Amino acid sequence: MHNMSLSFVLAAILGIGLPARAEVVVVVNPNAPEAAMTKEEVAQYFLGKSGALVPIDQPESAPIRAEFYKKVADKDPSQVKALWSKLVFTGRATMPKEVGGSADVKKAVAANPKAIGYIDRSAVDATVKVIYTAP
Amino acid sequence: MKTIIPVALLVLPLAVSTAWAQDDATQAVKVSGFGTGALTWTNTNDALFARPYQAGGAGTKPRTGVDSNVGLQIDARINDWLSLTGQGIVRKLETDAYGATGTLAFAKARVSDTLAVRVGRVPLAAFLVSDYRNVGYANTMLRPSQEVYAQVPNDSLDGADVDWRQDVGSSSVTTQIAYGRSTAKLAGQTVTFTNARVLNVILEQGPFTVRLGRDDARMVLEQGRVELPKLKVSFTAAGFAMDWNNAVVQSEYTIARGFGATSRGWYAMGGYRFGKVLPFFSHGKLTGDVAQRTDSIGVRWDAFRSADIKFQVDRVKPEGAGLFNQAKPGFRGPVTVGAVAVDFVF
Repeated sequence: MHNMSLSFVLAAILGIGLPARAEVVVVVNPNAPEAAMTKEEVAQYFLGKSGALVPIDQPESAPIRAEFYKKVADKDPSQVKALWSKLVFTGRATMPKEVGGSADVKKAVAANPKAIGYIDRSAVDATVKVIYTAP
Repeated sequence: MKTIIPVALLVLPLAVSTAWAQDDATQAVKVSGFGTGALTWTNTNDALFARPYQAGGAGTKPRTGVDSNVGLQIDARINDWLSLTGQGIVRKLETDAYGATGTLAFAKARVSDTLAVRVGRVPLAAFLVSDYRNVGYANTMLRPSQEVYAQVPNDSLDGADVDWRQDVGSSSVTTQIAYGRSTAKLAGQTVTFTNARVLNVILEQGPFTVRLGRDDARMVLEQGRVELPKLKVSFTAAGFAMDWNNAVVQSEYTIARGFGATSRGWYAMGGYRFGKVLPFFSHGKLTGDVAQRTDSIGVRWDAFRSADIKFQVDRVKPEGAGLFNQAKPGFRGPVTVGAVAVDFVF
C-alpha cells in the first residue's frame, strides 16, 4: 500500500515534470512516390525554396508548429515569418496553406498527392504516409 | 495627412495581428501587407538625412517620414498555373508628403515546378535585398545601406521576368532574367531606364546565399524640363548572406558605370542572435561623384508575433554633402543619425 501510493505520487510528479513532448512526423499522400525524406528536403518545402510539393501548415498558435520549424529548419517562428515575407512581398510565393490542426492536415494530405504536412505521431493513420520523423 | 498616417502605421500592427492568423487557406484572393512606423532624427540642422528617393529628410527634430511606410498586397489565384499580384506602398517620396506608388502589378504563369514567367510591373532586382528593401520586417537593418542602395533607387520594372530554379545536389541555383523599362522620380529629377536587361544568378546552400547580378540599360535623366542625352549605363553587383548558428552576415559590393565617375559601393553587416534579440554592426562606403561612409550599430528585437522593434544609430561621414539633402553652405559631417522603428507584417 505504502509503495503503491509512493509510486503513484512519483508518477504524478514525473508526469507534471516532463514537458508534454509531441513527436512530430512529416506526412504525405499514401500515393506519393516519395518513401523517405531528409530534414533538408522537408525544410525546403516549408521555407518556400521548392514548389514541387504543397506545404500545409498548422495554426500559428499550435505548439507543434514552433517545434516542427525548430527541429526541421532550426528556426524560430519569427525567423520563419521574416523568410516568408521576403518571398510573399516580392510576389515569388504565397504563404503555406494553414489549416485547423492535425486532423485537417491529414484531410488536406489525403486529398492532394502533392501535399506535405506535419502532425503528431499519435494522429497517424492509413490516410497518410510518414516520410520523416523529427528526432 | 502628415499626422494621420504615422498614427495609422503604429496602430496597424495591433489591429492586424489577428488577421494573419485568420487567413483562409482555401481563399483564391489573399490580402497581405507590411509596414514600418519609425522616428528618425540627427544631431544637425545643416543638412537633411533621407532615403535615396526622398526630397525632404530629418534634422534634429524627429521625423516619421524618412523610414515609415505601409504596403498592401493582393494575390489572386486564377487557376493552378496562373495568378495575379498587385502591391502599393505609401511613403514619403520625391515631394515631402506621403504618397502612394504602385510597386507591383503582374500576371504570373507557373510553367513548371522550376520555371515561372511574370509579365507587368515586376520587382527590379538590382541588389541582394532590393525587391524587398521596403519590407522592414524581412530585413535585419532598419534601412538598407545608403551607400549601396542609393545607386539604383528604382523599385520596379515594367516588362517581364523569368525565374528558373535548378537543384544541384543539396544547393540550388536560381537564374532570373528580366527585360523592361523603369522610372524613378527623385527630388527635382526623373530617372528612366529603357531597354533594361537584368541577369541575376543566386546560389543557395543551406544557410549561405551568394548572388551575382548585372543590369544594362539606357538612362534618360530629366531635370525639371531639361532632358539630358541618353546614356548607356551598367550596374554590377555581388552579394553574400549567411544565417548560420545564430550568426548573421550580409554584404554587397556594387559598381555603377555610365553616369559621371564610376561609383563603387560596399557594405558589410554582421550580427548575432540571442533568442529574440539581434544586435548588429555595419560599415558602408560609397565612392565616385558622391562619396560617403557610414558606421551603424543597432538591434532588432522580435518582440511580438508578427512585429519587431528596431533601434539603430548611424555615424555618417559624407564628403561634401554626400547623400544628404538641402545642405547649407559650410555643412560638414560627420552626422549622427538615430532611428527607432516598429516593423510588422500581416
